[in-house]
Amino acid sequence: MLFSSVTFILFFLPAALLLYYIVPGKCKNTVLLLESLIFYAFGNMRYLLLAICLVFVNYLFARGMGRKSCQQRTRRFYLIMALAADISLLAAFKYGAWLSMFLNRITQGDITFFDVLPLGISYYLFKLISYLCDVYTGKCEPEKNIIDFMTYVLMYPQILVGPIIRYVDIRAGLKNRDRHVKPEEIRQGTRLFVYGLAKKVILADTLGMLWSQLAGADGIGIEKASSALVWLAVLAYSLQLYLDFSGYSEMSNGLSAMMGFSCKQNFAYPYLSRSVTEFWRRWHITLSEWFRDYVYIPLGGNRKGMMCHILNMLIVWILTGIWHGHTVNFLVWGVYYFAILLLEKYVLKTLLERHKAAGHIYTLFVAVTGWGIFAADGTQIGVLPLLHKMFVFSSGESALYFIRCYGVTLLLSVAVSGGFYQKLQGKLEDRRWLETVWLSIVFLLSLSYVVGSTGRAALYAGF
Amino acid sequence: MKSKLWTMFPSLVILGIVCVISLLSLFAPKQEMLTVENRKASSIPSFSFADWMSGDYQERLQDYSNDHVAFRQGWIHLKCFVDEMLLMKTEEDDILLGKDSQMFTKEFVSADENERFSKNVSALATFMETAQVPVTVMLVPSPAAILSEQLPAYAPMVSEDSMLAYVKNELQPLGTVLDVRDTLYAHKDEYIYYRTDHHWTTLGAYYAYLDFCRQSGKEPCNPDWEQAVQIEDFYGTHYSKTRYPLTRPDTITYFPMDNQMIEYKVTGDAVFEAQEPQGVIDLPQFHEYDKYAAFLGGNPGYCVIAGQGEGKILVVKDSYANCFVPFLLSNYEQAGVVDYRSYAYGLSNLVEKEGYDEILILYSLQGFAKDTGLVSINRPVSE
Repeated sequence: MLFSSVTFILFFLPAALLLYYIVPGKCKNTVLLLESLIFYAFGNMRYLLLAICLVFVNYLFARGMGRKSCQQRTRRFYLIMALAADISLLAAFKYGAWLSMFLNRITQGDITFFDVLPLGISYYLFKLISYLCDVYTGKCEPEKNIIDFMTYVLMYPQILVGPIIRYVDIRAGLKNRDRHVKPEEIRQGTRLFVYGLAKKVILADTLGMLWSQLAGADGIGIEKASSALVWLAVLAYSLQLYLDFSGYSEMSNGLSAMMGFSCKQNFAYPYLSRSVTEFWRRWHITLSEWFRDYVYIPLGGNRKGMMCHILNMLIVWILTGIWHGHTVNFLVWGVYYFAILLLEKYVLKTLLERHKAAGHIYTLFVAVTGWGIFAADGTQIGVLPLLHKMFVFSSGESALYFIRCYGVTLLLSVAVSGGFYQKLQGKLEDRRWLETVWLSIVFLLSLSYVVGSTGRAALYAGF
Repeated sequence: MKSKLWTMFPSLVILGIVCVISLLSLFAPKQEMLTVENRKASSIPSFSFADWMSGDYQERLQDYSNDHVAFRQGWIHLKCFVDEMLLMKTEEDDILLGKDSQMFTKEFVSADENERFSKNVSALATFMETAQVPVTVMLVPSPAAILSEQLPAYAPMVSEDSMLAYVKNELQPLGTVLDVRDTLYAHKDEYIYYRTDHHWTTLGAYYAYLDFCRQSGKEPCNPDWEQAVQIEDFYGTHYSKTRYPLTRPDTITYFPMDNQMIEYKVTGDAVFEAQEPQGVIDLPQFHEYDKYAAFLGGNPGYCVIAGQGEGKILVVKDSYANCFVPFLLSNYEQAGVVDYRSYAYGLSNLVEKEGYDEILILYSLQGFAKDTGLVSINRPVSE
């Protein structure tokens, strides 16, 4: 059940929120947990048990590490055991399908294993890993209350696509037994949810159509497209990815806020960055920080000399790449960012600080090209043909029709990605009536997209 | 208290909107048919543990809630309004919005060669090689090929000219390929295609019929267009998808006729049972949403109409032929009509049993390129 579905917005959400508000403070976590289990079961019942088991196992390991009698060696052993279980399971699910395909090709066999990626596993396992590490390093005490812990890991606003909020950051909210959600939090949450929904369903989904005109199953394809059309499509994809993902993160944080949890923002207008380093501080912040704190810094970060620093960066970026998927393009994409960031760190840094406008242009260029590589997963479009088309000018189907068709959406998306409604919101802050009308309009329009996109194109079959 | 409520006033309003729509969706009477979308609304799924585990139940429950949202059609209209008027998109759900509110089925250039199209052409070639009676093939170009000035600017439409050239090249030596492009093009300023529907109009079909008679040496009928009945307010398939706010509804024209049509229930190769006779034009259907389905009562698998001429013709077709066939009745004693979307046998037994003298293959080019049933035309007799 996606946040942008009729079932969620019209039925699950009002019922879940009202129930959550009605029950007394000490029951709120239990209610939220039950709601989250129903939410998850709606998407995939089969993997609900796996999720519960994983949470339970990690809970026990963390409790083990937290025992006073536990020696440092045992604590380390527990940590390694738990991490090994979590990481191997994640790897099995992420790359199992690919591995079985590979084995089948060699052995001519027909076996499949781990062929379905359980919903949200990349996100909730990262939450669990961060929790284990934080308990190990003493950043937080292990949680004793299994209900509270499960609520943290499985809470429905975050279970599907994050953000990867850490236990230390949400603990205060979870432990606040007489939790009264502040009216200001509810308003802030509603605003985030509505804006996030609009970004996702009105802009991102529309732009997605432009990309699929090029790269979809019956799309124009890279061979027949002109370089201009490919650039336009990659640009649309870059905007789509941002609006879709940041929209979803905002919906998530909005829901959390409506229940009294304050969560870190996941995107901070990354396309306004002046360097790629800054871009990655503002894009999918919870994931970047996760890799920084649980991979890069433990490996030594930049404290062990230049060679070690470079190696650490390479490891982090390869992992970031393959975390996104098993196809080669993600690996290329990771290495691409490693190279760019290395260049920036040792060569371009001072130059970028001096020339701000050039920094913006350079960052956008790098990011958009990067998303091209990211999108070329080989099903329809490979990395090399895409880059060739982008950088070696060639003619083909023109971009003009698509500029005409998607021009307004593109302009609006650029404005939103550049923080247009943040500015608008500033003006509405003290005009409650105006804000209400504006939010209601945006919500109704978004809802029309939610319902309007459910039409199944069975028309021709009947005529 | 008041200031608390005022602080979260926007949230209360939005929660209120959600609750009202949600309650109305739950308790308002449910529609069985989504008329404009031309499909049945999903019914409430019955629960079973196995379905729940596999996720089928949840999926069907989501379909059910999508189909029965209060004001569903209003939401779809609003979405299309925003897309077409505010975001100024020139397409909606694979329909292009052209000038003068003419709509077109979107068939863009694509990376894949259309395998289905070449499969269908070679199926026809095989059929024509062995056919016992003369075969004429008429594949009607879509409005995009004839009214191309009205297409949205620079739309990268696939070339129907090269598709027809391919058809001619493959099939001309085996029979007659009737190319109606020039005729339709000569009349492109007349009302030959519906604006809101993917079909041609009765007038468009008539011009093609004249071409057909010219080619086969028959005397065409000359209906009195003054006497034709006009059915106003026709909103076709394209409109169902686009809901274009500036749409001008179409008008359907038909000529009243007394000929009887017998629809057959097909149970095997050339094995069928006659149903009750009915008119060629199903008049009550003009009061329904899908008005074009009045011609030949929709798309039966096999039906036979008695005419006033000589000889028997078998028309193998998609729905483009539905408003064309009535013109043939003045030239033939009997017109048989096969629609491969509801017919799954080869033709040789049928032709032999019913004694057809000639065959007309009549499809829209776009429909032909996608048809998945036509390959049955060569199904062996022994099967």
